Amino acid sequence: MYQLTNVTKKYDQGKRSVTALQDVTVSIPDGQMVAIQGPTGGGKSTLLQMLGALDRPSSGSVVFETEHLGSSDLSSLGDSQLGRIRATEIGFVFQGFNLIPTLTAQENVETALAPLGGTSAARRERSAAALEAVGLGDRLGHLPAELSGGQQQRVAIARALVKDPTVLLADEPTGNLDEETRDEIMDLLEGLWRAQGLTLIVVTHDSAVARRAQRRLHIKGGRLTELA
Amino acid sequence: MRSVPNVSAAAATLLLSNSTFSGALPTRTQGGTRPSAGQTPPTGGPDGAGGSSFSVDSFTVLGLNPADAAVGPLSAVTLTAGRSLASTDAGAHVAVLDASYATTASLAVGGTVAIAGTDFSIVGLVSAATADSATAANVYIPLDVAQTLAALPGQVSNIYVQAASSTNITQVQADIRTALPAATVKTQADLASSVSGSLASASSLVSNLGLWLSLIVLAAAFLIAILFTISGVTRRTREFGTLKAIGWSNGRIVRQVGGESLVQGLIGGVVGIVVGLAGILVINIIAPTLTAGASTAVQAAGRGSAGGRRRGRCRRRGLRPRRRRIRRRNPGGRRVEHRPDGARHGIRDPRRGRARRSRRPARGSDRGLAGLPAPARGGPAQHRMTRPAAPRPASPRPASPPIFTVPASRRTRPCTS
Ligand SMILES: Nc1ncnc2c1ncn2[C@@H]1O[C@H](COP(=O)(O)OP(=O)(O)OP(=O)(O)O)[C@@H](O)[C@H]1O
Ligand SMILES: [Mg+2]
Repeated sequence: MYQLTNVTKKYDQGKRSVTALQDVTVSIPDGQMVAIQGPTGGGKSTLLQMLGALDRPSSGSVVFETEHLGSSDLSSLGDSQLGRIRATEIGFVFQGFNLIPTLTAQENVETALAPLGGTSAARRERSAAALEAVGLGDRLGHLPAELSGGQQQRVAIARALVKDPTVLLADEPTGNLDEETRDEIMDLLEGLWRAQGLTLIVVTHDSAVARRAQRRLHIKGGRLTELA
Repeated sequence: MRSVPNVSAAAATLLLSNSTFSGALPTRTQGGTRPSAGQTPPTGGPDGAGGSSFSVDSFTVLGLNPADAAVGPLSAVTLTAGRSLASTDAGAHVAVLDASYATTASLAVGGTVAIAGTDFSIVGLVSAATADSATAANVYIPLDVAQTLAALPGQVSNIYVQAASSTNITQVQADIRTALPAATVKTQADLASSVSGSLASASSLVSNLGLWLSLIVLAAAFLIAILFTISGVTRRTREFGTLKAIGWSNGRIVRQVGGESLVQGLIGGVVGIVVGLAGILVINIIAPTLTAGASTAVQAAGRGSAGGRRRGRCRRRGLRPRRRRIRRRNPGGRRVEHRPDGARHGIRDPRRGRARRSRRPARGSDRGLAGLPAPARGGPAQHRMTRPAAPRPASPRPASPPIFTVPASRRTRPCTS
């Protein structure tokens, strides 16, 4: 679960400083499916970076608690500790898929297992199982360029979930997809969320996507509000 | 010279250069100016210089003492026609010609050759012992006549010395150096080693060049590798960002990139070594080796005798063998009479000759416009004897007895052309 208290994030740009998050206080319990909405530049991605241990807030605390890790304040951890948390606990799905173009689908999924150690045979087995779970069991050896947008996003989801994370963070995962593929991907995410007991946090512009969530947050000008 | 111990013979020579400019310079007919009476109007030449037709004839004249024929440049030639110079020829206007020069100039025994405006009767032809080289000069005349012609009484440019025995060459060289401190004293061995030295320096140049080339190629390869790595890493920042987001540490990313570069480097290295070895093999199969061994040096010295002498007359001119004669025909194909003009003696090769020709008509027209008489065809011959700068000793002939040459260094002056 997450407990954010008075989280403020400022970006210094020369003389000017941009406040991307302003006094954000929110609690997200384990297993919840949350949608974050808001206008562009509102601070959605910035908030997701705080949650995903990719960056530290300028002030305030981001307490993250899991079963095997216990409770830790992400705002006070070093880079390597944040990296460790990302590697074991957090899965990321990006709007642009961000697959490595020179690696096959299976190898892309295996990159998520690389920091965790284990034999390469075990990694191959787990990555194949993850791709099977997203419906790409027959595309293991394909390069990203040989896959459709929806298939690429499935590979990205497999890569995020192969390490059995406690949290899955998705920044506009369907932004690049047509409506049909969007629904397909959301069905998949929702199904995995239900099956694996994840905490699923999805940033989206799309209210059709947001409507699937249990809880909807709105962020505008760095200020977070709860939508009913 | 004979007072130096262990010298069995000596011969003094005076090397001169005779240049003759001949031909007609055109009067540029501008605005309908009529050509002067008795002169054919110039026809248009290919270079636009109406009717300019001339030739430059330059040859070397070597004055030598007929009595000393046993030593020096005429000691190692073959008489092909007539007779050689004899002691009785002293003071006489007789000449012996290099056979190949005689052929080029269409001269034969019994004819005459004009040197500095004086006719010399041709009494003999000589050719170099080796078929592919020429003799020391084009024309040989008695030394006293040469000195009179060149207005250099009592002066010589080279002295050929024969040592009594090959065992005391070094001593004789030292003695001559003492006797003539201003002179350059060279033995055949010196001349041979200067030739082989240039071979050796050519060989070292080749290997130095190879070293520098490989260093440059190596530096270029490093630069290219670095640039490719940088551009590769820059292109992959997004990739690295993704990997970091999914939990890769910086160290793991650096190891990944380093490992990839290492594998690529190893593959490239293996391919490079294979290609390089194949290249060396190919070069060794098809290319000759450049050696500067002793035997080569002696041969080179022998072969270089005539050419080296001729080329070396003016060092600044470099290795370009001098072209002795430039003839131009007028558009009608008629051979044009020579109009000698000593001032033009500097023309050495066709390129420079052309450059001069293109400038000449302007001068001619200037003169014509100024009302001065333009040079007429067949005008009085002007001759000029020039003393070649830095006379070069005769080259060694490995088979002949040891010979010293003593070019008098006070005659060494900068090239005039
Ligand atoms: N690295 C950065 N440096 C400087 N300013 C930043 C940086 N990242 C974000 N910002 C600024 O913070 C504000 C919030 O950015 P953020 O990316 O969180 O918006 P967003 O809600 O995700 O918008 P979008 O819907 O377009 O993705 C913006 O004004 C942005 O310019
Ligand atoms: Mg964003």
